[in-house]
Amino acid sequence: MKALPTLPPDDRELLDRFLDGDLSEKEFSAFQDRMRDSPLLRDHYFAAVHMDTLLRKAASHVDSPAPSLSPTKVPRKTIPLAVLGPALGFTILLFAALITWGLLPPPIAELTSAEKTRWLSEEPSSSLYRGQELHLAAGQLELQFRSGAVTRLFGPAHLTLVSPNSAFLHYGQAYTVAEDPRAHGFTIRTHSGDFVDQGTAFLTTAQLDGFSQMHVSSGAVDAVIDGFGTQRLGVGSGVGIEPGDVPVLIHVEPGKETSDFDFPTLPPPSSTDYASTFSCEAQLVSGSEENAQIAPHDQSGPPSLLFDGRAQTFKDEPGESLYLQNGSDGSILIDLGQEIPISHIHTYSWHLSIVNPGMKRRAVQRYTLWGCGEERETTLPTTTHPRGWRRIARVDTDTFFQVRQEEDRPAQQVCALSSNGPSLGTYRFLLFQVIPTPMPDGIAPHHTFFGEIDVFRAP
Amino acid sequence: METDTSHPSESDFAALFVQHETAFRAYARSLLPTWDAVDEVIQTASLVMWRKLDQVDLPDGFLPWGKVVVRFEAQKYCRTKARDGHVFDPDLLDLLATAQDEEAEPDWTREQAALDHCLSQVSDATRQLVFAPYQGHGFLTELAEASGRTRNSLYKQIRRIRGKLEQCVLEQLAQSPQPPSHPS
Repeated sequence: MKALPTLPPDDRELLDRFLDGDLSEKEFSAFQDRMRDSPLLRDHYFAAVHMDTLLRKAASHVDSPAPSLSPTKVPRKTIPLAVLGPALGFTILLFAALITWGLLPPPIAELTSAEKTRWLSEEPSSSLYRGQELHLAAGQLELQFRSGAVTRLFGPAHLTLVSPNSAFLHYGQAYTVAEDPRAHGFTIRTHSGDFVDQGTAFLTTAQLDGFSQMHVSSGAVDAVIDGFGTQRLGVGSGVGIEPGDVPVLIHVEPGKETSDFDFPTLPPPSSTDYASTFSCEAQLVSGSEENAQIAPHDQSGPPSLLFDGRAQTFKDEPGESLYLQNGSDGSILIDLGQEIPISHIHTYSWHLSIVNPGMKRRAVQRYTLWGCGEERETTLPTTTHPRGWRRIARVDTDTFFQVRQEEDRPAQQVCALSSNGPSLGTYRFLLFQVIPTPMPDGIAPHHTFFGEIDVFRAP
Repeated sequence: METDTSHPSESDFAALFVQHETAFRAYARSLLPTWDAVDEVIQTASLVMWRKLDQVDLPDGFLPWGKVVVRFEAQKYCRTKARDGHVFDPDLLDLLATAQDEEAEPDWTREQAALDHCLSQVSDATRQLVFAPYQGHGFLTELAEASGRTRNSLYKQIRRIRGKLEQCVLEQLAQSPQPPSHPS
């Protein structure tokens, strides 16, 4: 944007009236001629459309309601009937008649609200039909299905409307509230599993690579996953599916925050798993320097505590936890001593700070787990360059538990990884690439208090 | 930390598109007569970009390539609407597009922030008036009827306000010089 010399009055008049959409055909022709001939008019024209763009964008932000996740307050778009003209009324009647006569399928859902939406597909009308695709680039919207279920879709997302009581989430996040009895059994399908309401509210997340996960906010949900059967999940629980040759089920639960490590369905730490029974070794390795062993945090316990058959005895017990130095980038490397088929892996954490009451920053479990066979690959793997490692699962319990504030995060957590086949794979080395919890400015990221890692051998 | 260099996903594209959407809209607005036309062309152009994303080097090549797509779709739009009038002739459209291609891309985020600041300095009534042309068809007419004035007189007042806002934005930008570009 730059200051320009003043425009001659005739050109100014033409430009202003063009921008107002107020030129006759003859005047428009004259305007085009002047635009060809006058670089100054063109510069003013560019400046005007530049300002027009900025103002339109500013206007689009006016009165936009703040995003809300409240599942109970679903605003219904109401159209004042008094302003509907006869033509629109006729159109509605015609559609109603066509639907009644069976010439048009009835809509299966309604778009009841939209906030700051940008579309990659054609912007839909308020009535939505079977098979309709919603490609949302940004923003969020709410859909009310004919069954009564309400789904809030968060962009970017791609959702296909399947029936009055189901939808397919290709990627993105969808929060569903199915309080209406007619909505019992409402299903969000994904590439890797179906999540079936049993009187509940739940959040489904799907990624393009097939990874999907679901968290239950209230009631219960059945996760129906090929090869895994049906698993009923209660409040606070989450499940994820890591796709691949061997799909991996990621099941996360909050504990009751006692030294018994009591969870709704998953077991407490085991002293009979393979890692606790045989001479397995754990060490911390650098995330940036190949083959470099690193020390844990000064107050951390030794790596061997991961296999002692028990986790922490208190909510803030550094010496009974394994954790990295603040701000460091590293991994937990486990050597099982020999290649074994692994049926499942459980990881346990517990942290509720006694120094900073309410803080549970070291409770979250965030890692990518890799495995390799008898020959340990010394080069660290990445998503695009696995370098001989095989990715087993990506875990982020904060996303399962929908942690937006510290209080949302359970202080005690278990994450269970299992497969739909006989084993997760045959591995000797397991590499947990751990990711620390971001901290406020000026404080180095903090790492998780891992109390136990159980590795179970497949029969 | 690992770096993922795999093919961009739909969500990657969505993020890129939203990042440059203002630039695309401004470019389209300079080639097209109305915001309705801009919306239509941007909608089509975004789908073309999405389908042909593998033809471009990301992320640096996305904006210039996207503008080529917008230009092409604007040309198509003008060809189909030529008989309806009030779209630019092909030669003028090329002239306008080429003139902008030679200019450096504005810092839209900075300019938007400057405008937001200037808008915060005016009254609610003034803001409502200057936003009126973007509130849908007929809104300005309703406003004119409600205030007992003509559309023309409102347009003139809006132009004056825009002029002052433009001046304010220029001053704001001059007061906070653009930070030097980061050495590569």
